[in-house]
Formats: sequence, C-alpha cells, structure tokens
Amino acid sequence: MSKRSDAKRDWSTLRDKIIGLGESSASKSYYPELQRRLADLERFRALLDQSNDAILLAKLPSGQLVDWNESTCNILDYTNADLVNMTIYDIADTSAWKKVSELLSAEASAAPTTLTTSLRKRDGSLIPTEMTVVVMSIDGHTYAAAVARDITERNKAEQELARYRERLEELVVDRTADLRRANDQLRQEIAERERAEEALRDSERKYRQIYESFYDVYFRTSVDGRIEIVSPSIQQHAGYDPEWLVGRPVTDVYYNAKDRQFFLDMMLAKGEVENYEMRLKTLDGQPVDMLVNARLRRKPDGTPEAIEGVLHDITDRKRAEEALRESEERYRTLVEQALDGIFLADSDGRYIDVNPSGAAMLGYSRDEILSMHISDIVRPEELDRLAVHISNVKRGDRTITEWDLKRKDGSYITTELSAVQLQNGNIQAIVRDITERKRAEEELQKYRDHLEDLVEQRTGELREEQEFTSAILYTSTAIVIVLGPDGKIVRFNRAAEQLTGYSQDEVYGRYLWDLLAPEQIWQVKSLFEELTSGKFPIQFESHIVGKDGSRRLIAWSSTSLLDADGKTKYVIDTGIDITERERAEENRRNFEKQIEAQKRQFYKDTILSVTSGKLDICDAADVRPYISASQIKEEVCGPDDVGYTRRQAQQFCEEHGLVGDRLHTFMVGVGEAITNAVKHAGSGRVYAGTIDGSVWVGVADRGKGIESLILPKATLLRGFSTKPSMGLGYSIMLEVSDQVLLKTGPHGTTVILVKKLEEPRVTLESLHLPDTWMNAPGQVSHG
Amino acid sequence: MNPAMELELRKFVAPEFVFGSGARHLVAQYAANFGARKVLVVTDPGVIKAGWTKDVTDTLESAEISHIVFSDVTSNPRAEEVMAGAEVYRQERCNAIVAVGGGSPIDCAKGIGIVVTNEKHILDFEGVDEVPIPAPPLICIPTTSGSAAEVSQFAIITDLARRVKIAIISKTIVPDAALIDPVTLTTMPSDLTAYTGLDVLVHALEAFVSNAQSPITSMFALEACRLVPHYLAATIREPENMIPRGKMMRASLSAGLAFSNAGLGLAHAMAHSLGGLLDKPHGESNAILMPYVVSYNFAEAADEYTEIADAMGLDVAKKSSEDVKIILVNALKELVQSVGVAPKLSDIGVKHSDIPELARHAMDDLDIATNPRAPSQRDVEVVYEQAL
Repeated sequence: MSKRSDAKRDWSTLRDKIIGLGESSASKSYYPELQRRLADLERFRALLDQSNDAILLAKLPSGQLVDWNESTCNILDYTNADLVNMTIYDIADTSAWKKVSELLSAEASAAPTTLTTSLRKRDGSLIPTEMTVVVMSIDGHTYAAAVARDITERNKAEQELARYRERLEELVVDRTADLRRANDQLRQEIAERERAEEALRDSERKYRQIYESFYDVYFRTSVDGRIEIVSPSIQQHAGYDPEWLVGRPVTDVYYNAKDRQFFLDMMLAKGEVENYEMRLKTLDGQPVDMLVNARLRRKPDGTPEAIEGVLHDITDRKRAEEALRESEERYRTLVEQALDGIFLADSDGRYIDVNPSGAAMLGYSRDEILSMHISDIVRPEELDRLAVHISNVKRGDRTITEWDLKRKDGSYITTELSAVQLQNGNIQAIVRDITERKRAEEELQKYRDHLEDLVEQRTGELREEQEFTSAILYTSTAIVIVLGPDGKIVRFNRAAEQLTGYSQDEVYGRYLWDLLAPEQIWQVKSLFEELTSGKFPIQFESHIVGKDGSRRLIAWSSTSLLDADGKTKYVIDTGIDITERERAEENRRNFEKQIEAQKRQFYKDTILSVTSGKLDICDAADVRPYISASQIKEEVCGPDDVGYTRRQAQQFCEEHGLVGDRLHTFMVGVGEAITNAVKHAGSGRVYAGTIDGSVWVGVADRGKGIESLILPKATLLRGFSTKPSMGLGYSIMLEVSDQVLLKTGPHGTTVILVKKLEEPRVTLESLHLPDTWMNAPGQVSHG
Repeated sequence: MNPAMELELRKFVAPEFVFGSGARHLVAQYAANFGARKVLVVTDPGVIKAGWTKDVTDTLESAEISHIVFSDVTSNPRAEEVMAGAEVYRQERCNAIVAVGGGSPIDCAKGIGIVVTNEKHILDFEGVDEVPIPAPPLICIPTTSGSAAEVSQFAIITDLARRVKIAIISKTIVPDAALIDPVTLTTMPSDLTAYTGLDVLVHALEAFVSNAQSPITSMFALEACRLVPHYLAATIREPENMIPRGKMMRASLSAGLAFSNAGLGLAHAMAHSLGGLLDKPHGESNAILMPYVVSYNFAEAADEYTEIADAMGLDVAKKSSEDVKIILVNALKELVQSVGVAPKLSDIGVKHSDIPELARHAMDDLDIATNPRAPSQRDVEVVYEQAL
C-alpha cells in the first residue's frame, strides 16, 4: 500500500513518467537484453574453446558434424574448413561409435553415456579417448553432443605405474626373505634370554626367602641383662641401630623395665617360652608389641648362660583388633541412639535384638521384645500380608511399606518400615513412627476441603450478583448494548430485543454498526474508535434498523469500561428511543413552515395590492432569471465599497439609456439598497441588467432576512428600520422604482429595483397610492 | 493551446498495426517473422464461441506453427488468471503470444508476457515503468472496438485480495503488432457494442483534456470524438453493416493511440475503483460517470471541452462557456441513454454507503495523475454522489 500512497502524493512525477522521457521508458528495449545474452553465449563459447577436451555436436542419424571447439581441431589436426564436410564416423573409431549410436537411437535414453574409444587424426593415427555422449533434441532435430578427452598421457602414466608395481612386487619378495631369516635368528636369541631370566628369577626368589626369614628379630641376651646379638631387622621394627645396641642393658628396650625381671624369672623357671607377648619401646619411646619365642641356653656345667630367641612384631595386628572394637562400638552407639526403631529377628521371625528407640516406640522393655515374634505386634487382619512381605524381603525386595504396630497398651501406631535380610539369614527392620505425619496430612486435607467449601460459597455469591445485574439489564426500558473492544456485541438486553426484533443470540458476535442505518456506519465507527482510545462518555444520535427494516432514532450515551491495564474491556451503549419525540418535532417544524408560508402569501398578496403591484414579495424562482441574465456583478465587502458599486450601477444605467432626474432619483434607491445590504448583512453583491425597456439593479445579501411579521412595516412604513440607523429603507426604493422585487428568507435577502427607461404613463391605478407615499421626496408626480 | 507548450518534449509510442478487413489472417505471417515456434493463444470463452479463436488457430496451423489455447480469462482479468496463464506458457515452452479478444484477454496476455520474462508476480509491476525486461513477441487481434489495449501501454489487472484494479503502465507492454480487423466486431452483442463504444468516447475525452496531452495525441482524440456520436447508434441498429463498424473500429484505434500516450483521467480512476470493488463492467461505469466528470473538470479545460463539443457536432459557436458546459454535459447524458445504458450508478446497484471506499480507491489510481484538475477525496465523493 505504501507505493500507492506515495503515488497519490506525487501526481506530477507520475504524469512525467506517463509522458515517458526517462531512460527506462523505452518500447520493447530488446537490444540491451539481446546483447547481454549474446555476451553470455560468447563467454560460454570461449570457455568451450579453452577446454582441453574435444567438444563436438553431430546431427543424427547422418552423423554430420555441425559444431566443435578449437581443441577438436588441435587434437585431430584438422582445420575448421576440413571438419565442415565430415561426419562423426570419419573421425571416430567406427566399431565403438556404431555401438554407441545403436544405444542412443533407442532415443529414450537421454542420460549421458561414457565410453573409451579412439579418434582418428588427419594422418590416420589413433588417439585413445574417453568420450561422453548425450543425445538431445533441438528444434525437432536430433543431435549427439560428445565430449572427448585425450587419454594418451593417462594411458602412458598407467603403463608406467603398472611397470613400477611389478618391480615393487619383486622387491617385496626379496625383502620378505631377508626379514624371515632375521626373524628366525631373533627368535633363538629370545629363547636364550628367557632361560637366563628364569635363572635370575630363581635366585631372586631365594634371596627374598632369606630376607623374609630375617623379618623377625633374632636376639641373644646374657643372663645379667646385656644384649649380645641382635639381627639388623630390629631397626625396621624399633628404629635402633643393631651395632649400637650390642653391649647395652636390655632394659633399655623394654617399655616397662620391670618386665625384664619377670621374663627372666619365667625363663629360668621354664627354660623356654612360646608366643609370649611382650611390650618393648622404640628408639623414640613408642610402645611396640612383640611375640617372643625364646629358650634358655646353658653352659656345659648347666649354669644359665644366655637367653636367645626370635621377636615377632604384632603391633599391626593389635592395632587392627583395636580398630575393630572401636568400629563395633560406633555401630552399637548408632543403633542405640537411632531415633528410628531397629529390630532384628531370626529367619523364623523371633526377635533377637532391638534398640532402645524400637522398644520405646512400642512401650515394651528390650527383654520383653526378645521374647516376642514379629506377628505379635501386627494387626491380626494383616497377618497374611505380613507373610507375603517377609517372603518378598527374603527375595531381596527392599520396598518401604506402611504398618500399624501394636503397643504394649493395646493402641496402634502408624509406621513406615524398611526391612532387609542379612547374610546370616536374620531379618533387620528399620521402623519409623509416622503417626504424627499422618495426622498432619489429615489435618491438611481437612483444611483443603474447607477451602473448597469457601470457594463454592463465594462462587454462589458472585453468581447471585451476576443474576441481579442481568435482571436489571433485562427489565430496563432503556436499550443497553455492551460491545467488546473489537466492537462486537456481547450483551443485548430485552429492551434492545423488543425494539429491533432481533434475539440476543442473533446479534452476538455481530458489530453494533451492522444494526445501524448504512449512512451512519462510518460516523459510528469513528465514534467507537474515540471511545476505545479513551474519550468517553460520548452522546450521539443514530438510527437503528430493526429486523423488519424499520428505523428508530436512538439517543445514545456510550462509555468505556477499562481493565486493570487501562485498556478498553467493554463499551456500554445505553440508548433511548426518541423516534416519536423527533417525529413530533418534525411535525411542529413543518407546521411552522406552513404557517410561515401562509403568512408570506398573505403579506405578498396584501402588499402587492396595497402597492398596486409595485412591490412583489417573491420567491427565489422569480429572482433567478434576473441574476442569471445579469451583465455586471460587483462585490460589496463593506461601507467603503458602497460608493464605487453605486457608481458602477449608475454608469450601467446611463449607458443603457436612463438619464436625467429619472437616473438620479433611481440611484438614490439603489444606494439605499446597497447600504441596506452592508448594514444588515455586512456585505453583498450588486447586479444590473436590462429587461423589456427597463433597466434593473439588484442587491443580494446573505443576512438573516426580514421576518414575516415586520415585513409590511419594513417595506411600507417610511423610515422604519430594524436598526436605528437604517435610513429611509424600502419606502424610498418603492418611490423611485417602477417595480421592486423582494425575495427574503433566512438565507439572505435579494432586492431588485426596476426602472423603465421612459416615464410610465400615469394610469388610474397610480392615483390610488397609499397616503404614506405622498410626502416622499423625489416622488413621481401623479398629476 | 499555448504555443510554448507545443514545443515541450513529447513521445509517441505505437505498435506496428494493420487495419482493415481480413487483417486477422496475417497472424501466421507475423508470428513467423517474430520467430514463433510455439504460440500461447490468449482468449476468452465468448470469443471462442463467436468463432474468432478458431479462425486464428486455423491460420496458425496452416502455417505449421504449433500453439496452445489459454481461455481462463474473465472480464476484468484477475492476477490469478495471469499467473495461471504464465504457468501454461512455461510448461508448454512457448516463445510468443497471440491475444484474440477484447480488452480482458489482451491485458491478460500482456501480463503473462512480463511475468514469464521477468519471473516475478504480476502485482509487482503495479505503477509506471516498473517492468525491467520486455515481454516476448505479442500480436493482438482485437474483437471489440473499445479498450484499444492492442495499441496501448496500459494493462489493468484486478487484485481480488485488495479488491482493487491495478494499472501497469509501461512502454515495454506495447504489443509488437496489432491486426485490427473490423469484421471481428460483427459478432459483438448490442450491450457490449454500447459499452465499448462509449468507452472509446471517454478515452478520447480524457486524453484530450489530459495534462500530458500533446498536439499529436489531440489530433487522434478529436478524430475519435468526431466519429463516435455519428456511428455508435448505427452499429447497434445494424450490427452487421461493415461501414459503421469500420468507423467505430477506427475511432477505437484513434482514441487508443491518444490515451496510450497522453494518459487518462478521473472517470477512468473512478471506473477502475467500481470495477475493483464491485466488479462493474468497465465501459458502463465509464459511460455513466463521464458527464459528471466533465462537469467537475470543465472550468480547468473549458477551451478543450469546447473543441470537443464542436468536434462532436454540437452547436457551440459564440456560446458562453457556462452554456457550452450545459450543452456538452446534456449531450453526453443523451448519448449514454440513447444507446440503452443506465443513466445513474444507483441503476447498476451502487449504494450510497459504497462511496467513501470507492473514492479512496479512486484517489490511489494512477489515471488520476493526468486529470486536468487535481481533486480532493471529498471532490471525488461528490462526483460519485452526483452520478448515483
């Protein structure tokens, strides 16, 4: 649409384009297009010529060559002139080409075919080529287009390649034999090395055994408490340098020095100990637990000489035992302190342990529980479910389930339970009391139900209110039509239905203006736009057209109802049928018009007879012939123009034969008429012309006219004026003219003064002039 | 005319045309000269029924020029019809177009031509000089004496979506050859004869007072103004008499050469709006509107209208311009009624409520640019109201 609107704004540019002197405005400018396409073609031709392939076109079935590129000449060593008279069969390897042409004559096969064939040069030698051929139909003729590539070089390269390949294969065979030999040798060497490595591994194993046997500490102490020998492994276990220890008192290495005496006494008494636990201390004072195997060595005479034995470090074992105990302790505490009840039953369902929470949960002591069976605390009606559940748990099902468990006081608690079968077959269950949670959930549900009641109650109230509003709409005698923001009807009350004959279902979804008189649609649409753009309320009147086509005049009062964003949600039109009122008004106006017309006719007749036909209060139709035949037309825009226009009129009258006193007295009347127009209406227009031996001057204004009631006075009473300064008024005009035509009405007054060129013969009628005329100056003598 | 204006630059574009009985039989010769291999023959069912299409295709066949007939064309041709015709042209691999018929098939053929060469939608060419590449060779054989589309640079296409008639004005759609054969007019029904004949007069009148007229276009326009009042009634009385038919064909050609180069005016803008919005026949709308448009324009081109009135054989010697206006307007009204065309728009079903929309569309019409008086939208509404 924008193009069209622009066009409207610039009609003169469009006109220039239609005249068409611009450069794009040529008729059938084929030449640039033709030249462009020729250039395209030439470019393409150059491309073909530059190709190294021979490209040629032959007419079928004759095979006559019709077109070819430069490479064709170069490859075949022919000139263009030679090729003009040749066929494809002259240059192609005949047998191969025949096969192709047979293939191609099947016509339907328009797909290109590629073949390897030879082309014959001028000297008869053959050039191997790869040729792609396609059959095409141009202007009803069949052609074969062929693209041939010289593959001499390619063939040569391929042969070269084949030779290389053969040589390569020989090389590979030689090399493979060499490799095989080298491989065998290598394999022997590897076998020998493996044997050597095995021997090494044996000796290492032995060495390790020796080393490991020295892991324990060998010692010998004298009976008087000196260290005589200690193996180097002492350093590993207690950090002492063995050489430094030799000769030192053995109590230096005891954690408690007193233990030495006890050990010595035992050795002296028993002669030997086995797996005796002893606590030594390390170089930095830490305890180290050792297991001792030792015996008493005696001199040949039987006196004790020394104690010798082996120390085995058991610190790590001790530490592990300690850790285990601690872990058990921790687990125990966990179970004891857990808030959830933890029950342990054997595979038959007898309780074998329970934690304090579990016992407390059911109100029993631990001992009481241990005398019970799982089935004792389940509701009797759930025993079957329990059996199923236990067998599920044994199969590995770890589902959390809900159970009511019986307390010692007979009441039940609701619990959530997770059970598992342990490796030893026992069943462990973790039980959580969810009675409180259940209660909270029930409470919540109750609250929810209450909320729904509230909602229902509120909905009921709203419905009631809506019904109340609808009832008001329904019983209102005023028309109420509610429109959506798009102008479509959404409410249509009973009064509207009765007035239009449409039911509300018939009008829902239609536009308000569909119901209005067609000529008012545009106006009402624009009012609707004002309403929706925030200008309201608006009052207007329009005709509504009923289903039967009858029209009723409605006085509307319209307003907009806005939503929270300030946008129009509804437009409410309230209307009252004022057809009857309007009709009465119309009747009254018509009646007044009639009265006015009768009055006018009465005055016209009266005045005409009183002035002996001289003053004619007439209609527009009577005045029009004068004005349309007017020979001058002068505008009077204010008092300053009065003199000029009067002179123009005078000059006209003079030129057309009115002279002397008759002219001058007539001009007094003309001047009066012009002055009247200026004073009465502010401006006017002066006309003049001739008619049947008379001249006439007319003055028209657009003032309010002279009312009927004062018409006789205004025209006949000398000096009467509706304005104080009006002057002599119409009586003067009547006196100086032979006839005066006066047309007056609410849209203006036109007075035409007619003056015969010759003095009229005095007739009897002129003797019956009214008295008022007797004293007028310039009065035509009747004697 | 202002002597200085005579020296203003003006162009005159016309196709090669052959006028006279039997001109239609030259179609094969022209097609061969334009290198036609396969011809798209654009026509309509009425022309086929009258036998003129077969007449033309027989001539083509005798010269072994293959062809395909496209006749899905309604009066007031539509954009969709043009696009469908272009599709047939492409599928059948045509390389030339022959149009046989009145203004509708010829305008449709022009549209098909530029759609296939420019590969655009027909509505993209709306306006003046919006066609970059000329159409393929186009030979026109008119079978009505009215539209003069066979010589003009105009094509009027209806856009049903917007309900407007768009104008394509371009020198590139002037046909390559027009074979103007008055014999083809003998099968025109009397109402079509009346509409098209009055259309000729409106072409001539609007071209003569156009603000883009030139001495050459005026010469042709006046010739048409002379011919139409004298021979239109006779063609209706004696439809098969070749003398008046020939005169009317010549009038159509003259008016066509005039308006194609000088442009049209308000009556056509308003008639296009009626055609687009309410699908009213073009000639009828033009004929009804013309007296009221003359009345509206008169003051701006009083001298030109007086010349026209004189050419039409009206006695306007030494008459005041107001009198000439009354005489001309009344003569136009009488002419319209004398050939049986309804005098008022309300007679053909236009309603008062249609006027604002009609006027808005008329204000957008290209033809309004060359009207001697630049109207306001309210002016246009008033002219519609007067003609209602």
